[in-house]
Amino acid sequence: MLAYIARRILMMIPTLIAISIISFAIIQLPPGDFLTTYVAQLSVSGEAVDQAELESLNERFGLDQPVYIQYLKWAWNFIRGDFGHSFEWNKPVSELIGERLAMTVTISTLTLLFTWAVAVPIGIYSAVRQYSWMDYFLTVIGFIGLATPNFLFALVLLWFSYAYLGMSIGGLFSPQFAEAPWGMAKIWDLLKHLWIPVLIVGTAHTAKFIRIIRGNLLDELKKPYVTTARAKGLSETRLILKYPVRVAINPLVSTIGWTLPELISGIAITAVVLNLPTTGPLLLSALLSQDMQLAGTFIMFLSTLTVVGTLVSDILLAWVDPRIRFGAREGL
Amino acid sequence: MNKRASWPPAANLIVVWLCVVAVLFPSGAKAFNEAPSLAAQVKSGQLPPVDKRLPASPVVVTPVEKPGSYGGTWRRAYTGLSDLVGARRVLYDPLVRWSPDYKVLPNLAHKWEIDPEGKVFTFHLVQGVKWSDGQPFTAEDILFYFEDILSDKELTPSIPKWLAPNGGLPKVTKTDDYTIRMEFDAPYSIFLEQLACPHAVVLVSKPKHYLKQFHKKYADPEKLDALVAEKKASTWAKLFLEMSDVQRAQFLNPSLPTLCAWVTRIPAPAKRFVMERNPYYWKVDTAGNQLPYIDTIVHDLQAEAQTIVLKAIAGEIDMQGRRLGGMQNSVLLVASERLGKYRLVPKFSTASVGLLLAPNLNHQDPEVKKILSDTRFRKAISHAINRKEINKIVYRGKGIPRQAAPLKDSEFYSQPYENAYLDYDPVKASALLDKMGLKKGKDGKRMRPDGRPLQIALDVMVSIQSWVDTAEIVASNLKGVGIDTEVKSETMELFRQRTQSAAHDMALWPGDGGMECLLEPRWYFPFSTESLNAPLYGVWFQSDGKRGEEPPSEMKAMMETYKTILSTVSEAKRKELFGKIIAANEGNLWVIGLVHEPPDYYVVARNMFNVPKKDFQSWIYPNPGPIHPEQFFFGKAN
Repeated sequence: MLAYIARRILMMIPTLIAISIISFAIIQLPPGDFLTTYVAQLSVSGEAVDQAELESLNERFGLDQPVYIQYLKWAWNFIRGDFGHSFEWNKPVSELIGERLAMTVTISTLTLLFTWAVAVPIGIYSAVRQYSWMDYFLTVIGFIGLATPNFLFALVLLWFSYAYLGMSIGGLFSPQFAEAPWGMAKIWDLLKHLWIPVLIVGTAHTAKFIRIIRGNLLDELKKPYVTTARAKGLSETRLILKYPVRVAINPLVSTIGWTLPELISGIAITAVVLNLPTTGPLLLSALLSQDMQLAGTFIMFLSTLTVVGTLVSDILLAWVDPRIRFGAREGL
Repeated sequence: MNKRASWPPAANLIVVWLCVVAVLFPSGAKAFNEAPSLAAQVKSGQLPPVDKRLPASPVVVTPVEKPGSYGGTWRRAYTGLSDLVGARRVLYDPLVRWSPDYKVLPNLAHKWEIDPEGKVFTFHLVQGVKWSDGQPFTAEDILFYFEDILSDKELTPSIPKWLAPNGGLPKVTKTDDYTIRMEFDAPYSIFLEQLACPHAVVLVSKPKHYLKQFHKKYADPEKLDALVAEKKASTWAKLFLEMSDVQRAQFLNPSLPTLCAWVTRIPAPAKRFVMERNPYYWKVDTAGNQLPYIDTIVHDLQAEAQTIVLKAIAGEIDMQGRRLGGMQNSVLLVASERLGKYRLVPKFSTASVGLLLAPNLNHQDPEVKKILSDTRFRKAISHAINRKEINKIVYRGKGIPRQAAPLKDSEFYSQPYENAYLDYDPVKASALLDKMGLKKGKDGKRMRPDGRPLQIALDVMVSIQSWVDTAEIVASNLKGVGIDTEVKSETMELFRQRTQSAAHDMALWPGDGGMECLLEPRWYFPFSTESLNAPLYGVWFQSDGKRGEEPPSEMKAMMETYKTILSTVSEAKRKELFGKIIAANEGNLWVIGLVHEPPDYYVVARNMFNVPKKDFQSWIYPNPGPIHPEQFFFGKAN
């Protein structure tokens, strides 16, 4: 097992190097560079940049160097823990990502918990009472959540909270709390804003989980051990929660690994609409403005998380399922 | 809307704008007032008293409506560092400035003399102006810019064209601390106008006493090296630019002293980028109150321009026009005026037309180049376009169909050019094309003289929907006369790259320079690579014939005329000369204008006063800077 894990970790290194080269190349593919975008943006609103100004900017940003030099410089610094400097934000990349990461993880974790809290009971109910009108009703609700585009739902809630709850448009804090130090009042203010993204992203995912649990549970309910337990006189609630549900929620656990990258980029569109200070919009704007070092670092982070996430879920699976474990051993 | 009706009727007149003229008080005759927040700081000894902070004779701004009261936070929104131009437009204090009716006014220079030849400019600075850290602003600071920044190869790889029209910098000397003399080697007729442009703010944004510490010539080498290392800059020049560049430093480096009405407190790109009043601001109102009235300007960071529109509608923006433009937004803003508790102030674009067609005279394919260079072809296109339809669909019928000619308010207005080949007449267009020998094939599409099908692509930038819509209408119009046309909508970067290297057939772009024809002549002759109808001739002009493509004689003649204008002192003579360029345009129609845009709007909170009834929209006139944001104030909405 340990050798298996060690081998997998060693394999990650060339994978990540390949990813870094490919992603840097892809970001470079569109014509121009950060400065082109910057100047193009200005010229659209009629604001001209003098040729002389342009040349001095070009030199300052180091964009006059060939792409591979830019890549090597960035990669070398990356290894040493210096993620580079964002042109667009004029800040170290680590600082930029860092200040948004905590908020992103908070929102994403809460969303995940919310999704489970809604999906698990509904999934169980609709499996146990299959084809009842409540089953249909809850399933329809779940599918509406899945089918409604997040940005639309975001706009509706934005309008609702502004028109009826008197909250400011977008963001995670009211203006008076934006720079205030942390305290109970600020946390309360945060919570008042936080439910909106959690609800939006949460509802989009519940349908998926409801269907998974419902399907798995239906399979389990027909198995002999359920009949046996029932024959032995176990109460229905206890029976279902204790045995088949534990098996049915297995997929939820084994996909935790995949949700790691989603924690960072998952709610990008919602975050753009709601103007949340999370990482999603930052990545989007970095890609749009060809802010190389920021975008590159981001993609490296996401890739690393995906690779690590896959490793984690493989290990989890091997741990849970003896067949995989033995298969791995034989494979060595 | 009821708010507007209750304003003094005189405020409706442009005449009132003219009153916003900076004049000088007889020195020392007046006691000055200051904001309560500053008075408190004076009391506690943190600041010298207001009379010591202001010049003996401060510049007086006449308020648009009435003298205001102090206080308040001006809420705006921005999308990040690349959007800081919005803040630059608010903080507009060059040596001389534009008045709200687009004429040159005194500012930091309270008067000037120009020698009869038009070569030597002597500026007299307002005495006693102080930087925002309390240090005096003198001719020495301007000299510092010329001698130690512009003339330093490391800091300035190439010299801005507007400061060196003939390649060489002016000789700059100071007569005394408040008199500076600039001598060009040839007459420079539009130098004053150039000085009022936003790029000229650079002249008065280099505090020598502060920037010395970053300059190789003045700083102690060890200390400078330590600073370079501390700020992680690779060279001293990069550090210097970082701390002082005109685009961003003012908003990123709170310790950089400025002469503007507000100074940075929480630097961009913070979630809330905050600027506070400059306690040393050197302007007062007619009642002797030190300006600005408003305490704080806050820019709220938004991930997307669309959420700025949302904020405006929700009444969370006090005064802003940036990112709120365009027909679609205008309709939305008008509809939500009551809800958002704001009024809308129109700003009229100084572009001659919202969009024009620029047929590429530098086309790589000689056959296409021949067709595009044929005057008959361009006239045919102009007749083939249904401008009325464009106006109706894209501008809701509120625009004015015209060619890319100088606007009515411009001194170079030409009625014949404005209306040349304007009528929608597909029959006339077809006849012209037939005469050129572009015969129709069996499928109804025209062929090139060499027998291959004639295909024209319209390059347009995808990010603005109305531009793409216009391109589609133009394409269908051109198909109507048998020209196989397709719309090529591209991202900004691709568009720029293609058009600047002359890889396009025809491009769509706004007709900048409808008012400021001499400062922004790109659509009157190939002036630079921004002249998308002949970018390579533009390069040739900019590089004095060293690079680019040599233009034909008629273009060269226009370039010569323009150079002559730059060295012609007499205004009447200049007008006559530029008239020649306009006449050449009328005859050749090098670009095809479509429709003059209806105005965009500023959203102005109902409790904000002293905002004029209208403004211009331009970059050279960096609105709203020229309408004196320092005299805006918050009162009671009525």
